[in-house]
Amino acid sequence: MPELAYSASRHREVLTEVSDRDLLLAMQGGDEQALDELIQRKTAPLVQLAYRILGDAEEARDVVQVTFFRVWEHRDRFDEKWSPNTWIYRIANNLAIDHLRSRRSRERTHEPVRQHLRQVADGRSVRSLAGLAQGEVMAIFQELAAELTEKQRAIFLLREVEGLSSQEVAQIVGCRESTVRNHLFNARKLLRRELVARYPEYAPAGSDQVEVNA
Amino acid sequence: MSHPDWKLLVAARDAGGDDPTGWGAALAHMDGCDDCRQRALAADPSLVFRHLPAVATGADEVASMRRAVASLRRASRTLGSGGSAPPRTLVAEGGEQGRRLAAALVLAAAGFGVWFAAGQGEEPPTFAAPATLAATPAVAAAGLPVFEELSRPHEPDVYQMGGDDLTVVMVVDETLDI
Repeated sequence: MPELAYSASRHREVLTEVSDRDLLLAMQGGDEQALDELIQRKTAPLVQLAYRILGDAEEARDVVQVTFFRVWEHRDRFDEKWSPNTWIYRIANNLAIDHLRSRRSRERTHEPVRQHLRQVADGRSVRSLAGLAQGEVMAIFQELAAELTEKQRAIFLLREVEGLSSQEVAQIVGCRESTVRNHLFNARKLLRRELVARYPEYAPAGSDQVEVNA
Repeated sequence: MSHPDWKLLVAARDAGGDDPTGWGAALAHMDGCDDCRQRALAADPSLVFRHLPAVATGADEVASMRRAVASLRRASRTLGSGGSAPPRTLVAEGGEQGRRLAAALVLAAAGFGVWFAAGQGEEPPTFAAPATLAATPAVAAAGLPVFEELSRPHEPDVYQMGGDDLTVVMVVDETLDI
């Protein structure tokens, strides 16, 4: 009986069991199936990250496509001592920020949503933040986050929403941990202030006091 | 867990920069406690953004992403602006014709190897794994000979039947039409 010397499907099975680091090393050897496996693992989290930065699902997908392309093209630059996640997130984050900079229609995009929220809020004197629908939270975040610098926005999302450590965030955005903490503090402060100022109907009792203390 | 003092926690977080002790547990508690959620949002309204909605991803999201990335790579090669080493595949995205040519080349190479080994009395040729891939522990542990791809997405299988004097290599590729 002939012995199976190579099978693409068997090779793919093997790749599903290796670490992200080994996938990137395999890619450095030219293994395209390793890229496929990386796409399998990272598409969802990267699309979510880009979506939260950009506020647009299709633009997020475009950014992630280019991210994987860059990962492949620059695979020789990956160093084994780095965290694969940090390296890939850094590429995605930079691309999303670049995309954000080039976008010129931010206000137009969110103005209708804001008007809708105001109309809804007019019907009630007080609304609860806890009772906000998911879509409303995203729309408000996108509007308020437009006031943050790109770095503040990225750091807030990576730290507060994605739940990465300060050290990981520092590596992704390319700054010191102390800078991350500083940006994060300012981002939270600005978001609190703008939330209370622009959407007082959502402001919980006591939030003004917190703002003064912050 | 008892209800945390959110004003204290938020103030400590703002003062120190890092998350105070018990912050993670407090957040986990908040997710399941409506009272705490109200108090936490009163202390820090920006906490409402902790759970930003996720994009709805369809079942074909990954397949669609792979196609898009492949298109970008193809376009990059066409434009000659790849910037880094080209992928070491035997088939350079030459379509059906390229795949057939590659398969034919592999068969010819294998045939030559058999002839050469028989003629020289040496060991039959074996497939060498790309150095980096073979070095990865999981791949090496699987003990699989690694062979660069022939033609995606049809994925041919390669069989080897060896003996002391003769090695037969069979490439099974449904797209092969010689």
